[in-house]
Amino acid sequence: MSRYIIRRLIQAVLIIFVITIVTFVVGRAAADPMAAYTNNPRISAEDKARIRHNLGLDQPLPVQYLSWLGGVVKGDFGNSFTTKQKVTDMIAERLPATLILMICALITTVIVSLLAGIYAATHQYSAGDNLITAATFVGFSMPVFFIGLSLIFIFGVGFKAWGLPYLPTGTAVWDQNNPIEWIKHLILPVATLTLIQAAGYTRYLRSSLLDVQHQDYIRTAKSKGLSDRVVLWKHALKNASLPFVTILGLDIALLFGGALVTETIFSWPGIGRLFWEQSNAGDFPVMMAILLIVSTMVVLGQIVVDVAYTFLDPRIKLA
Amino acid sequence: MAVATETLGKSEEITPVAIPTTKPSYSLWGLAFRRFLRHRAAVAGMIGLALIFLFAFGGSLFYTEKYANTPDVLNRLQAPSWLQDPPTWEHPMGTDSVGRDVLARMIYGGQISLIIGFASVLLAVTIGAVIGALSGYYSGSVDSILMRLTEAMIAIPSLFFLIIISKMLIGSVPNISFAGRSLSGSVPIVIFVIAIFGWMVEARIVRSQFMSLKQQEFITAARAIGVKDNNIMWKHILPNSIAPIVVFASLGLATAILTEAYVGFLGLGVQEPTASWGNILNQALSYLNRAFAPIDFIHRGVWWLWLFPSLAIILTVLCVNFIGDGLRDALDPRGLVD
Repeated sequence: MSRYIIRRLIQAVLIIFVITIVTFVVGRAAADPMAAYTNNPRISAEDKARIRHNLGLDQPLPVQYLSWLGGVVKGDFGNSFTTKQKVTDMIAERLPATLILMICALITTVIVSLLAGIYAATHQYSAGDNLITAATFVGFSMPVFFIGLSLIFIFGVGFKAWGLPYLPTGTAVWDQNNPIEWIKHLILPVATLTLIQAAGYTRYLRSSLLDVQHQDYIRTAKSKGLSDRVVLWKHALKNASLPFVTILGLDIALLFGGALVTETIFSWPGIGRLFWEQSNAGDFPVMMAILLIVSTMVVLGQIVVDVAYTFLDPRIKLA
Repeated sequence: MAVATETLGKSEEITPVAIPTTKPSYSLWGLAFRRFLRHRAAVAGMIGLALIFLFAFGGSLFYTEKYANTPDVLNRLQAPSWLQDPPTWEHPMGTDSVGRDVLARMIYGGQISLIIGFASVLLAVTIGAVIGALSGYYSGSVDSILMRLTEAMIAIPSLFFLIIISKMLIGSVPNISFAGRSLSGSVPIVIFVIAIFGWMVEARIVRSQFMSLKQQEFITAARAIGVKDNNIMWKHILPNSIAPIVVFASLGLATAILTEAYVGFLGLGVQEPTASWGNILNQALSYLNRAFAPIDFIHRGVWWLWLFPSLAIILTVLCVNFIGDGLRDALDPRGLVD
């Protein structure tokens, strides 16, 4: 087991190394940090050369990569092109809002999909099951912005027009010290994320629960005289949760990246929107940092998920 | 299974006439086709997709592309004309922020979105097949390098990466001529960008297929008579792993069309005036984010700018997903795909 984890960690280092190269190549190729000065007649060619030199841009790309990597390893992603702030500070400032949104959405997603998935699997081919299956299919095929815009249109625009109590759609400034305001602003983005995520979770949970139901150990558990409830929650669910845990692990890792589209639609001050805003400004240090942090989380999360498998299903041996 | 096919083969030899008349024998694809036809949702998806194609390509008979791309600022942001007083059919889906007819843009945008979807899947399938084949056939260091690359690409959140790459490539691209039309040069770029993010799962599937197939006797036989590695890979192994590739491609098409929508929605996809379903949606986003936007969005509720393209995308993706599901069941009744 510990040998397995060590081997996976070594592989992970390699993968993250590849990711840093990809990120750097794309980030540097796409961004000329001097682009802001190219059309500025007040800056002479010598000044430009001096700035290039001071920023280390006159060095060969591999050298630039190594110095960037050296900083990244120490947790220093450099400074933003636009605000000149430290990239890590900018991200840290946005992290709480993203974590609140994503954790709330993940909790509701897990609750909704557990209920729906278990209901669908235990009432196979009933009207309720057919409805849930159809809904997951549609949810799977939907772009997240459609749900977001529809919710805004119904609960923000529509309710206001019809004189009903309407929900804020996030475009206004609000009192950030008031927890009730936070909750009000959270409802629509959390609902959007839940609706889109729950489709996948429910679908996987339903099919894996149905698979598990016919296995020997479930029959054994039933013939021991255990109640259906115990068989379901203690025996079947634990085993059927493998695909569920797989996507949960991925989503927990992606948590740190926020939800770019949802945050943009609802003006949520999170990391996804930071990425979007800075991408419009061509602020590559910030974009590269977010990309690298989230990718690293995904790689590490994958290892955690694989180790979690052994606890959920003792038949799995990692070697 | 082996026994069953053997007896079937023998009985075919003994009574060659009786079998085609009473029990027609089918090839793998013939059987798959029959199973596919029994999958009701898949057939519905097929019909739906055909209708969407009819809309997008047949629609050109009613509207010219010039009409779709010509602004008419006096009539900007008109709601669908059948809702107005008096109701007319002049702009059945309303007009956009510069007064272009949304229905005409939906038609020409549909063509572009469908072309992007199919072309990028084709490209992604090719990349995935090559990487998976090399990795599975040669194993060793080639395999570890290619698989680390694959895992790295899987770990990178694709939307973030798509944004960076699109920013990099879609600047001021010149228009290109294609099939007698002048299109924005961003179309091939979007195809390329979507394909870069679509090959990883397929590479893994093809790799596992190659790893198991290369151990089989017909490959040993081919090698024994001196067939070159290249021919073994592409002529002997690849045709045997076509089924999972087809299933992957159909599901990949759904993802590709959705990705085009996301990229277009964010304004980084196909550039105007060329329409795509994605970039019609972008106007809805700009009405949310501009300073004056909330007022416009809330008071005028430009719902027709996002509702119609969204519905077209959802319907297309739904149909393609149904077809993919049907293909999976038809081609792989015992779970060839992991």
